[in-house]
Amino acid sequence: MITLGIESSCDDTSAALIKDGTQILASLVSSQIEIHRRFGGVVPEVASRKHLEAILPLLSEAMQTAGITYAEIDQIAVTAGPGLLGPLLVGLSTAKALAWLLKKPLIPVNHIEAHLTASFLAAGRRPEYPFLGLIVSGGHSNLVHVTGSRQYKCLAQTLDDAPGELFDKVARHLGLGYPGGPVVQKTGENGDPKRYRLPRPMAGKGYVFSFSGLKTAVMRVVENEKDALNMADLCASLQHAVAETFAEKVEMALEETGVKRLVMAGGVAANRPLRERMQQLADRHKAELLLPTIHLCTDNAAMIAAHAFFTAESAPANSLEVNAVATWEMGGAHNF
Amino acid sequence: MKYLFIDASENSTFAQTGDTDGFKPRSFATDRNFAARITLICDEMLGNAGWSFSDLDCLALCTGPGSLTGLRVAAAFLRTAAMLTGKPLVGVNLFEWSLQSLLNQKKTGAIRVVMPTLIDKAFMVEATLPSLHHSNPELIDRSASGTHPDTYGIRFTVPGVTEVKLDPAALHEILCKKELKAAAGMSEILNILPMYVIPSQAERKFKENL
Repeated sequence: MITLGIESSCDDTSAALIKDGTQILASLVSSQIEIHRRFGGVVPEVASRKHLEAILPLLSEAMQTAGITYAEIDQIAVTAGPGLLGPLLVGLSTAKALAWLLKKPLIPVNHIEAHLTASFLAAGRRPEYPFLGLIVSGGHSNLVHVTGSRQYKCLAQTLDDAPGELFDKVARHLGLGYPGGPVVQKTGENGDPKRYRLPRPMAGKGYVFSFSGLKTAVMRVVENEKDALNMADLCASLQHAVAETFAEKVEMALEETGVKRLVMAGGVAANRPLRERMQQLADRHKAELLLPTIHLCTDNAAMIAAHAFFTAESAPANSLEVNAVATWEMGGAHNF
Repeated sequence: MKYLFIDASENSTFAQTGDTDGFKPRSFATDRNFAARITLICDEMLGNAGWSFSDLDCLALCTGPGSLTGLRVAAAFLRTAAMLTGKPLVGVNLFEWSLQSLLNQKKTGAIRVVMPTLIDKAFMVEATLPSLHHSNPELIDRSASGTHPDTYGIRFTVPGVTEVKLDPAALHEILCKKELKAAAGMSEILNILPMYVIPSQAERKFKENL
C-alpha cells in the first residue's frame, strides 16, 4: 500500500511516498527558511505564495525519487491542520485534485498527531500503545498520554510560549539569527550550562508549562552582565533550563502513568541537550525512548503519510469536502 | 474543444464550461467554503455539461486580481490537475476579461480599467480598444479612480467610473482564442500563478524600514 503525503502547514513544503506506513520511498522538503529569515519569522502570505510555486516541482521530484507512477498511489494524505490557513489550503487543494482525479481516498491528517508517528517511522515501526508523547516545537509544548490510535489525553500544555518560540525570541534578542533552536544550540555548544542560574518555570506546580518567564530571565542576565556576558554559557544555561523543565514534568508522568514508552516529537526534539536529558530519564525509568531523526523532527510529509496509513479508518467518507482548520485539536473530529 | 473555467477571485465562485456549441456560466455562493467545495463545483459543472473530466480539452483559471486565498486554492487545484492529466491550462485575468466585455459593447479607443483593493488603493490599467493589450497594473489612490475620462470599474462604481459587467460571452471568446495556443508542459503550468499586483504587507513594511 503506497501513501502519498503532502504537508504545507507552515514554512516547509513537503511531499513524500511511504510504503505500508513504515518504509520511506521518498521524503522531500523545500524549506523557506532563507526567505523568512529577513523578517525574523514566518510571514503567512509570503509562505502561501512560495508553497504554490514549490509544490508541483517537489511532487514530481518525489515521484521520480520513489520511482513510481501516479497510478500506483493507493491513497493521498494531507495536513488539514493545525497550522497557518493560507499555507494549509495550498497543500489541501493540491491533494484534493490528486485524490479527485486518481479516484483514490483522501486522508486529512492532524499535523501534531503525525509528529508523534514520525518517531515510530524513524525506527521503521508501527505505532505501539500506550506511550507518553512530548511534542515540542515552535508552536507546541504538549505532554500527552496516548492510549490508542488517535486517543489522546492531554497531561500538560504551555500557558504562553512554546519552546521553539522561546529560542526564536531569545536568538532575535541576542542577535544570533533565525531560526532560534539551531543557532542557540550551536552557540552554546562548549558553554557551561550551570554558569547562569535561570528559573525552572512552573517547577513543583503540576502539569503545566510556561516559557515566557525564561525569556525575561535571559534578558535580565544580558542587562546585568553587560560586557562580561558569555554568550556560549548563556545559551548552554538556557537549554539546560528548558531540558530540566521538561524532565520534571515527564518524570512525573512516567511515575504516575507507569507507561514504559516515551516518544519525543517536533522541531525542538532536534535539540541535543534535550535529547540527552530525555535519554537519561528513560534509562533511569527503564522506559523505551523513541526519537525522530533530525529530518523527521521538522515538518515533513513522510510523517503525514505514515500517520494516514495507521489512521485511515477514522477519515470521513466524504473527505474530499473537508476544509483546512487552523486550530484542529489532536484526536478531534475532522472538521467540515 | 471543451473547457472548464474557475474564477475564485471573490466570495462567490464563478465557473463556466464551454465548447463550439456554446457556454454555460454558473455562480456558487461559496463564501469561505470554496476550498471545501471545489471538487463538488467541478463535478456539478461537468455534470451540467454532460461531460466527464477526460472529455475536457483545456482547463482555465482566473488569475485575479482578487481574493488571494481563493485564487490560490483554484490555482493549486487546476495546476495540479493539468500536471497530472497533461491537459493544457490557460490563465485569464480580470483586466483582459473586462476589456473583451467592453469591446463586445462596441467600446473603442483609449480607456482605463480600475479595480479596488482591500487597502485604500485601486489597481489601474490602460488600454486602447480594440486591442486587448493592457499596461501592467499600477496602484493609484482609490479616490483618484474617477478623475480620468472613459474609466471603467471592475466590481466598482464611484462617480466618474462606470462598472463593467464581466460578460460570460466575452470570457467564452477569450478562452476559444487562447485554447488554440495553450501549452501543457510543466514550465508553462508553473508560469500560471495568481496576479500578485501588490507585495505582501510584510514585504511592504520591510521595504519601508530599509
